[in-house]
Amino acid sequence: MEDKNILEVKNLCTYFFTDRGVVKAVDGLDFDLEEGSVLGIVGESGSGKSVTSLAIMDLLRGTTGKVVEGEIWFQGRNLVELSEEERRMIRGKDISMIFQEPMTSLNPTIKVGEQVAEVIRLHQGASKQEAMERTIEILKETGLPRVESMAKEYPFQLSGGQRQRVMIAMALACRPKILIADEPTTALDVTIQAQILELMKELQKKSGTSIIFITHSLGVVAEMCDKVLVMYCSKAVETGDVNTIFLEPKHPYTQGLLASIPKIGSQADRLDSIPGNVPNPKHMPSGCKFAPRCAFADERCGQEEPPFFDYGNGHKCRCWLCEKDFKG
Amino acid sequence: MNDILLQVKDLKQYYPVTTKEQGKTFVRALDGVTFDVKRGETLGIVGESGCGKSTMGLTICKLIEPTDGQIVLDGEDITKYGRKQMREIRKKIQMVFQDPYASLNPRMSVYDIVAEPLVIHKLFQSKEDIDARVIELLRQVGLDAYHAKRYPHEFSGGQRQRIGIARALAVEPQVIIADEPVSALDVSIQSQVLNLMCDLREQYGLTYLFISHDLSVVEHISDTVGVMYLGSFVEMADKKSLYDNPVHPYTQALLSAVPKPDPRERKEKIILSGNIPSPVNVPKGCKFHPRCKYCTDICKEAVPERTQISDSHYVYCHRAKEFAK
Repeated sequence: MEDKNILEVKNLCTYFFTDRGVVKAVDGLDFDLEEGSVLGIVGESGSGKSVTSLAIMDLLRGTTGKVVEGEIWFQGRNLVELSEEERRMIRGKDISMIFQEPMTSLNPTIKVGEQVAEVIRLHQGASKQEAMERTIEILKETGLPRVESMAKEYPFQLSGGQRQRVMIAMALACRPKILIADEPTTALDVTIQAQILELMKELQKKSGTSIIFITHSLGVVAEMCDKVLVMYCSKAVETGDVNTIFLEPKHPYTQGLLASIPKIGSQADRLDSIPGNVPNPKHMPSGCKFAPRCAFADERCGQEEPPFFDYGNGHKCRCWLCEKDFKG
Repeated sequence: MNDILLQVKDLKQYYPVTTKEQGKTFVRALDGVTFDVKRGETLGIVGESGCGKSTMGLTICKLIEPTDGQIVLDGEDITKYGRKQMREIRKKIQMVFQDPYASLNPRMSVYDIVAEPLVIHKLFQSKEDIDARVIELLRQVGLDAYHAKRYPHEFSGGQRQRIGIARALAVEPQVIIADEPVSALDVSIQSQVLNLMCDLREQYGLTYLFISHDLSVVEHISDTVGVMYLGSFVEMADKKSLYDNPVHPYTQALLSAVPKPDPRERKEKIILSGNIPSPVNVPKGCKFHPRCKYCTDICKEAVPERTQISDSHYVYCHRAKEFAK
């Protein structure tokens, strides 16, 4: 494991075993998270980006999903091989997570202050009173108003943005090494989204936490991330630093995604769009998964899965079109 | 022919509520909105959750009765129309809803969904004619004839939204009110549906009222854009003026908050403090003043009048003239 990487994911395969067959939600995913950096994982619904985060957090227990292959290296340990108990010691302390829907991810029957304090008591062995004092401090850091009274309120009494700030407080309570944010602003209005993104940037600068930022919004990625991983149908199709991905994307899917978002001030009459739909996970095409929707696909694309061509500097692309760049 | 197709005057929608502090009072979902839409024009309405943009769509379609104000469609005042009279009007005005999962009856086949308006409005007499029209409509929205026999659950989100559009098109309406039609869709599918809506507009000369929280989508599809805050407009202008020279501080903040999909354009944003106030307890004077950094004494007292910046650009702000430079 290289020193600068705080997390290394190797050949991660997460399958769901349902009554109607196996769904390969994540199938052979590799990526590294550099210490202190922000990695964006983008993809459309069903691409496997959320399942990846659940696998890292070990939150697939109790579902039909299972990590069947692969390694997740964190601080010299392969998380996949650890026991449930050991994973629990890491979850919430070293690696924590913010979820999309702040209403459903907070417990509606427990006061928000107590929910944050629970994390501190559990991982830092603080007394009830110490934990509460720390909680008030952390809630203040997230910019919430009238913290003392708000800590005694229930989630339903808070607005969406306020709830998301509570989630962030909870996730950052133990100063984690890694924060996984799964669509943290998707349910919020733009002006509130701007507030939350600003807060995350600030906290990241202050604490040096490494962040995995999962989102479908390319705008948010361009704004927040250093590195980007584009997923399509349970695999990484392209990865690189944020400038490379946005300015010189190589994969037709990345190019298509970028072209299909309306840009303010562009004055285009029509948007480019990617034809067709994301394939059903139970009937995955053989070969390149994107081939049926790709304008450049030829016969080989439908038969052989392309390798992950490595352009250096972390830029990799899974497409046969890249092959010509590597010949001779 | 009348150039103005839809005219809305001082439209209000109040819901009675009882609160601990104020006793019997109202949620002012729509607090006096006035605008015109020209034939063939697309008016985009943007605003954050709770600003009243969806209520406006429902009220104009008279799916909820307005508290006060006037709605004139194609020269006809429909404000006081009852159910029976509205049935005739609905041949002219149709809606497309946000959630393609909730807005199609799961027990009806696609054929039944698209044919229903044809049957209700008795547009065709024979079964053959209805069959032919349903298939024609499905093809127009990019679906196939064999899809008619299927049920909504067999379709993806984008395809369901196409079915919803086919249903709205069935009666050949003049106006379509589209309430967040692409918000539930993935980006690659979103652009397909937006392109479809643009094609249909051209083909049938449709007039759209396009409601969305997404400023980039609204910019793409609209001719004129109105920005709402707490039940009223704060600014309305042709697309170019609004996006190039936003005047109202709220519009400026809203535009600056949109994340741009270009890493070279990371810049300081205008971050608004606080949240949108509750529509039960609307701030006095300018509704935006508690969050506005340019707020002066008059903003706290008087409701701002409509200030004309140019022929097609007006703003509700006391300091509009000053900001417009």
